Amino acid sequence: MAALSKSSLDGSFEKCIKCTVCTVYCPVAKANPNYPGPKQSGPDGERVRRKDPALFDDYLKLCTNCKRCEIACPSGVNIGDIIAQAKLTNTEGGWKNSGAISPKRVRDYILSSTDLMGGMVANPLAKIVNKVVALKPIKVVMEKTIGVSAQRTFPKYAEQSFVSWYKKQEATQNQFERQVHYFHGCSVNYNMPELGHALVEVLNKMNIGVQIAKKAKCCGVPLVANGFKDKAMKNATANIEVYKDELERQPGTIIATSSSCSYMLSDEYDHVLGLDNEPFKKNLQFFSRYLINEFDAGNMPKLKPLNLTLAYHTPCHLERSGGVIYTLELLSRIPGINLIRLDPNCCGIAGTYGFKEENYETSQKIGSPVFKQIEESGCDYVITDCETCRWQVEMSTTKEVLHPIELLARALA
Amino acid sequence: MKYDALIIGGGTAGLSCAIRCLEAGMKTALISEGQNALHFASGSLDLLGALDGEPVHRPFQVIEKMAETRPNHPYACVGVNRVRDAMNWMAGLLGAEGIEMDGEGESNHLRLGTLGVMRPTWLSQKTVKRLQPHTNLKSVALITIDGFRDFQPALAVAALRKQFGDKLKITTGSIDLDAFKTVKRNPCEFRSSDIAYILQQGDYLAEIAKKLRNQAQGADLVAIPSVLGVKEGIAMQQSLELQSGLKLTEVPTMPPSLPGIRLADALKARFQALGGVLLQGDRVISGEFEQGQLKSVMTRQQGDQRFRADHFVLASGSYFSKGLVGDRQQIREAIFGLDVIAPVARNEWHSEKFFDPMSHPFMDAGVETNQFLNPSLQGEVIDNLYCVGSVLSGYDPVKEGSGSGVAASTGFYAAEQILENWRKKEAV
Repeated sequence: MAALSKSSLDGSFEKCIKCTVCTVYCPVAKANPNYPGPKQSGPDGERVRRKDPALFDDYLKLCTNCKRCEIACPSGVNIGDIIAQAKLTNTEGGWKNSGAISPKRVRDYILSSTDLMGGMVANPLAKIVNKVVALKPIKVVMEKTIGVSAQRTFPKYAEQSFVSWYKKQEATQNQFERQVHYFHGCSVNYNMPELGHALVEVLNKMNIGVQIAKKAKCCGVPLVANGFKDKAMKNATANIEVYKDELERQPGTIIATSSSCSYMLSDEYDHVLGLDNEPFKKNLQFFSRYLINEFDAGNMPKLKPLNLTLAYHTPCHLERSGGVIYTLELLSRIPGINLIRLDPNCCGIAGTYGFKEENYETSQKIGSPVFKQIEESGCDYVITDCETCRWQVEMSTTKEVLHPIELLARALA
Repeated sequence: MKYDALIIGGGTAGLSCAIRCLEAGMKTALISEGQNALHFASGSLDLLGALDGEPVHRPFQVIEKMAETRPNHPYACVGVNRVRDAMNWMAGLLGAEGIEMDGEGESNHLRLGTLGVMRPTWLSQKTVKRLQPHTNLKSVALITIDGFRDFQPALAVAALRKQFGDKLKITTGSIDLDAFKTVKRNPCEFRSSDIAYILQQGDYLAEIAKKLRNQAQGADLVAIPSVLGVKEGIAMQQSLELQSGLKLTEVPTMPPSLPGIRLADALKARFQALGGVLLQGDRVISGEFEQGQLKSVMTRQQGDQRFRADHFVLASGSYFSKGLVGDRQQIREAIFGLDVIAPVARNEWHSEKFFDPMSHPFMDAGVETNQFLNPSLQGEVIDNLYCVGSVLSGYDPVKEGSGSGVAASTGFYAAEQILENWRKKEAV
């Protein structure tokens, strides 16, 4: 059995005073009365699950792991972690119907295996895959067989992955005296390599080269969310080892542009999987924190005014990890921007959650205040740091979404 | 990361101070761990309900004399005129956010609590009707929702009877909706916020109005638990009054308290609209001091990141919010270890009687400051750090019913001094 994680051992759930403030801030509880809420699913449920794992409540899979409960808790209970762990420990019995693999389990596997799907299937066949998954009859078939929502627009796959692009760049990058490590994650690699290109462009302007670890694996966010514990542990352990070596070869900061990958590496490896993630805990910085500190130290590229009205959407995991302040500061340094800060609400997609047919309605209901505010904002673009938020907003509104790093790249003089 | 003002703590005190700084155009950040104590509060603005065990009817009159009678009380430090300005400013701010506050001018009024006890307060939301024992109110009905544990009319009746005598006719009742069935599968989850979510999913007001009318037995005033909604609850209650022809008053429940959250939301909305920078779910764990000034702070989650500012405000709260910590040996200020006023001998921390009308001494403990609310660290005054709200010593917010008043007015006062210094610096 894998190591018992710390938060189930440290009894953090014992600190719960049952005030229910977490449930007030739970987007799922607001949208779906079937979800018992974070207090019941987390600290309350933990007591009974310890007595008997059979008391695991299937409603827990309705949790999106947005962590807004943890931000709200006045008593310092890691509610989201408790729920995530319970899902990981109890999923095999709970979701696999009496031992047989269900079609939905196949779907969960496909949705969680971002690296497998991107690397082996989608990138080489991007043109075909993008067209096929957009076809109405295919969508209907996918919903009827494995339960992928037919109403969902699939993210497009890129024809050239970020890693293959980088290989041609490697010699150029190695010429810089200062270097950072970049954990790009699956979405940048397979779906939006242009985001990675933008980061490289901005850092190069600041005389910093970019290193990537070709052996790095998917951080494991979707695997944990879908209860594939063994694969999640395998990926996490591999990533920790890979970056121990990388840092030995080239000491420095590891930066990430994906708020969820970043949170997984620096926090959840420890809190949810119970792993010693020292290389990430010590060296990982969200890209906006790294950049703003460079700017303040005098290393700021020349920027030109953009003359745009932008609406900023806060990704839940960025809120939880405290990275929002850096991104907002970064945006404030770009000249000619009228920034509208959207109310801090969850957009509802929560990674693979919103792709599932049974969650589609809840997902869109959670996000509806965000979509409404975006449409009413009169913005030119929506800005957000999270790739899945981007898919959700682009699918559910008329606006185009950019990552802050793409905006910064556009502002380079 | 550098700010003009950095506030530690996101309750009434911290937010009041931050909003004042933002209104003046300062670059202001706020670091807050967990949602604030307003989620546990009545949603009324208490100023001063009692002092040394005696009820207070005209709070400003008592505050005015505090410079002589209670020189260590935060109100004595702020001064009665500034307390008045601060409270009027706060009431105006809430009104502008759609929450009208109402009171008796110079005097306190009484509001009904969950257990039927009347509590003095200075301003209440319009959804709370005054319920004074001397008025000619003849009958009141206390109506709850079947299975809702946080407002029990049968319990409240006894306490009300004690205060009003036999002149007041008190009846009880309860109503139910089919829509509550799902949530009721677990009685622990049938809380004010759960009910409010359900009421938002459909239009149940006509049905509720009808059921309330049936249960009210023609009472002059009908008390219902505050479960209709956060901000939208105000309009929903008005609509229920129109549809039922009843006069309704809402009773704040056990946490989560929707009327309290209404105030919290209003303050947060104003903070965000003014461009305040919020770091939430994180805790300040240390600071760097240099020559009598706080230079920067670090947090639990942000590693070696330093947050610098010209002015800092400590609004970290009391024991519940972990701004103060009492361990077996001592009471201390949790983040910087600032100098405190606190009873030393362990047996002097509390009174023998749990329900002593006087304060338990540990409740008066807290950070010691000078007249400008600057604390000291091992005897050295830190002149760019201000302490506000319940981290302060010299008062007992619970026994006095002075929590929101001290929080808002010390926050307001600290901001006034910060602004003065900031403007001087800007002018240079």
